[in-house]
Amino acid sequence: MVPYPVVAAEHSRTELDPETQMTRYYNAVGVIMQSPRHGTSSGTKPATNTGNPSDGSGGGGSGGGDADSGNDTDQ
Amino acid sequence: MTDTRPVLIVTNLDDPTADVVIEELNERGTPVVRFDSGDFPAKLSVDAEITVDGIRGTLSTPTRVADLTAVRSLYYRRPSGFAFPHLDPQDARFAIAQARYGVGGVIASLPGCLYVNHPHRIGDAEFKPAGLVAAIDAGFLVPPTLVTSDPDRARAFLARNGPAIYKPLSVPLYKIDDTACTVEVAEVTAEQIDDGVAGTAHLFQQRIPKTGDIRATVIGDRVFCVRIDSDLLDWRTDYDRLKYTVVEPPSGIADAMLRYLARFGLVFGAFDFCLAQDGRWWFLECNPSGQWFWLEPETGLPLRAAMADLLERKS
Repeated sequence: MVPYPVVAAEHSRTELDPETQMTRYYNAVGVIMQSPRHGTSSGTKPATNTGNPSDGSGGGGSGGGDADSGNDTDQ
Repeated sequence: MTDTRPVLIVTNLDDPTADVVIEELNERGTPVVRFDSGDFPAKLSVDAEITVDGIRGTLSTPTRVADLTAVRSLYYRRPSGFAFPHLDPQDARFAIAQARYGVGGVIASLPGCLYVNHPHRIGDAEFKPAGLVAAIDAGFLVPPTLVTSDPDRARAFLARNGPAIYKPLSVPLYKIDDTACTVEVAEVTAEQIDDGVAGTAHLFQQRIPKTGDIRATVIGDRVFCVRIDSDLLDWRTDYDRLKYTVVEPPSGIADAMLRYLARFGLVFGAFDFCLAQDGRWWFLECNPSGQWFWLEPETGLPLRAAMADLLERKS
């Protein structure tokens, strides 16, 4: 087992812009930052998941109640 | 006539790839409704009635309302998943199941909607054995592969097909000291196999000597192929050591990718190939939810526009 490469989050808070439906990223002092624009297969936080066998609705695991992935290691 | 039907984007808040797609759709004047299924029920609601005329109703977020009968397309990205942290584990399990099959079931049943990709089809395609079988049927070269929990079978396969590698069949959350870890794709020999193999399923695959890797991104019927050069067995482990070159696929490969996607009912796929020393492409895997946007600034390929075209249903 090795640590998956993880992009360290530089923002401290996110919210949805109601007009654009895009995410606003804020730094630790509440100033809007540029979007990180990663989008590689490096791990990302917070937890996300893609479609899962047998549920597909983003329920975190293979339909049987597995713990949700804490990192997105999808490529 | 202007198409006023919205594009639904299903993802968590920290998804820069979704943002660039939404930005492109905004510039084109295409309405977007973004939501995270994990926001249900606090900030997401679904009201669906199933009638003799089909499903009808609305999906509502704090900022948008979508008519379930008039969704142009749905881009299924990376939702955070249903969660009920205020409930005890048993009640939470019940509530999650109701949300999954209720809200998830409605989201998966929108009439006339183009799914990029349909979440259930994504689930089907995430099984590596199914993907490898589909790849052979589609006409790809596929390295000899074994899935087993029998140490003797593993040793025999490795002795016959080595050098070979071990790959996890799936990568669930695995934390060591609170750090998420994964099993490194690595070469393995028959001598390294012990009885631990009997503990669960393992995938072993012949290692094809390579001169490079290929990432092919298929968006609708458009195929974008990039050669990736590095000194890494698995290029995904260090993006700083990669060199990118746009390439054309060999004859028949593009059609095979479209056949593969059609087999699973997908309209998007991120294919990984190993480029052999004789120039042939060997199928490694296809991720139905793979990342792709990072390749645009590296290569200039118009991936974001292609994705917006697909979601707008222009392609």
